[in-house]
Amino acid sequence: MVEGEIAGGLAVRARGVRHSYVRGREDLRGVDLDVAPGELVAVIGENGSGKTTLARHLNALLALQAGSLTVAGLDTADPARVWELRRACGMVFQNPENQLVSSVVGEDVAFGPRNFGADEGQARAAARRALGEVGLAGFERRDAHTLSGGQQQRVALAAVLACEPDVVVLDEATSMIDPRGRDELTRAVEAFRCERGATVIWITHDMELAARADRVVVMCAGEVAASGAPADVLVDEALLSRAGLEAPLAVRTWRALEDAGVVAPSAPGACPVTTEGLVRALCG
Amino acid sequence: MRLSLEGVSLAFDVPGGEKVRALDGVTLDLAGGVTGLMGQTGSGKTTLLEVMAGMVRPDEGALAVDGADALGGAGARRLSAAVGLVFQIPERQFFETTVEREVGFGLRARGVAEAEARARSAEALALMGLSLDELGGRSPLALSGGQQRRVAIASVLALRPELLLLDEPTAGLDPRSRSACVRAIRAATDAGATVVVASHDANVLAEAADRVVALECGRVTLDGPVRETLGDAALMRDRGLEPACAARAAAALRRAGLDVEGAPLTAGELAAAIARAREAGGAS
Repeated sequence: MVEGEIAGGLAVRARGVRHSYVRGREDLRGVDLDVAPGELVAVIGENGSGKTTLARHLNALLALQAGSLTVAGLDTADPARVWELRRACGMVFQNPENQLVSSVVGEDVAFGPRNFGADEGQARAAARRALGEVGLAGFERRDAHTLSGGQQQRVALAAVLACEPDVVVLDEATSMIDPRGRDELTRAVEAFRCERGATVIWITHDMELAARADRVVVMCAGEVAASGAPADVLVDEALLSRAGLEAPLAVRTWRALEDAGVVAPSAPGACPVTTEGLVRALCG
Repeated sequence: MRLSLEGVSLAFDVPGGEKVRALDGVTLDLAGGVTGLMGQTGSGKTTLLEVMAGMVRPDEGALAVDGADALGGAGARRLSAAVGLVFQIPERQFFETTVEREVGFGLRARGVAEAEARARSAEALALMGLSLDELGGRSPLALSGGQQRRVAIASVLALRPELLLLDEPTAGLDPRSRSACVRAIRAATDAGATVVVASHDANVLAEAADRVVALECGRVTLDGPVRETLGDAALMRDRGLEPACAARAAAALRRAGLDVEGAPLTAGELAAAIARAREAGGAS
């Protein structure tokens, strides 16, 4: 990131963001973070490291206590622009059932645009387009509560997309759904990124998913402990261990092969972080 | 303890007068060890755990504990005294003011003396990697998400159930809490408990389970030792399930021409299999 770049050019610009839920304990201890427009950033860290607290600041679900935070060019501390901010930065949470506002899929997805002032025709068109993008075209009249967890998460994502966001935050959105649902949601995220070029901040415990991001941000005890390409961050086992995390399978396998002398110790950045990378490294 | 299910079927009424078959002729015999229960959302895992716990009575079929009918009379009483069930997101059920009271609640309700209740609470928390001295006086609601889950599981472990049933115990947990959970499950089975873990996470089951049973639409579609199930990427994919990450990588390496033998379940086993394949390749 270029220091001094105007905040409007960044999707997210955080400086010294602090947060305390209770007196005497700091849950965020001065977070600095820049995210470029269109970037897919995976945020990893153990439970209690501040990931969700940071996410909740991104669209002002929590009030800023210290520091400065700009998302999609909007100051999150400006009460006059909070609705604009929440349209520009949408969130998908962990539990699919907790975020449905209507039992009819089309109504649920049109709820956002309607509340942001779209007329009935615009709201329905936005809902139709968003449902198509997440692979649920034609689901408008379905009962949301009869859908699978993966489908419900995609409805939640469509409800966010219907508001035409600049930034989409997924907070452990795959941890309560089955592997099929996780793959469906991952594909839907890939599809709308291609289509809209939106910025994605994906909070996850899934290291295989983090390995596929443009950048990985490691949170530890309320601070950003590291930020960089997956090939640099996810191979640093000392760092990950300090943060209470475990390297992806490809990294652990490669390190065991290095230790056993089966492969030569790799140069920085050469250790594979994905299964495909491991296959390429071993089979050419 | 031996738990036997024979031809267990159960249907639920859904709005509109229809019936949904949640379990369809499930026959299982469990005696010791850890059984991993897999299947897509809606396949019947949670319902099966509820039947095993004696909470839900099947429409058809038999449930027996050590050969005695457990659907009524002495067998049912024996089952209810022996079972410990950890629900999905168990931390939602916290109601005590301190961690010590929360973990010791079940023991005190069963008339266990104060000193022993405290000792068993400390032991159960230690199994989950937590300290009673450190956390005992705190409100369970003030802990991090991972700590809350571990406290909730400890409150069931403290009862030392002969039949331990866990529903998605690691969903949303970071690696440290997940490892604590796997260790506690292994400790419970080493102490003689019969354990059933419903989970979407093939990697957790690869470490924790001895046997894997898969459900689809309420029917058992797979039942075998962990290595012959989670280690067989082709079989798992055929049943619409996710194999262990190491097994998937081994299959990808075989497709790319490296003759990795066996069914590795962990990074260490995968590295050893790769080393053997390389040696054999170099010798030929």
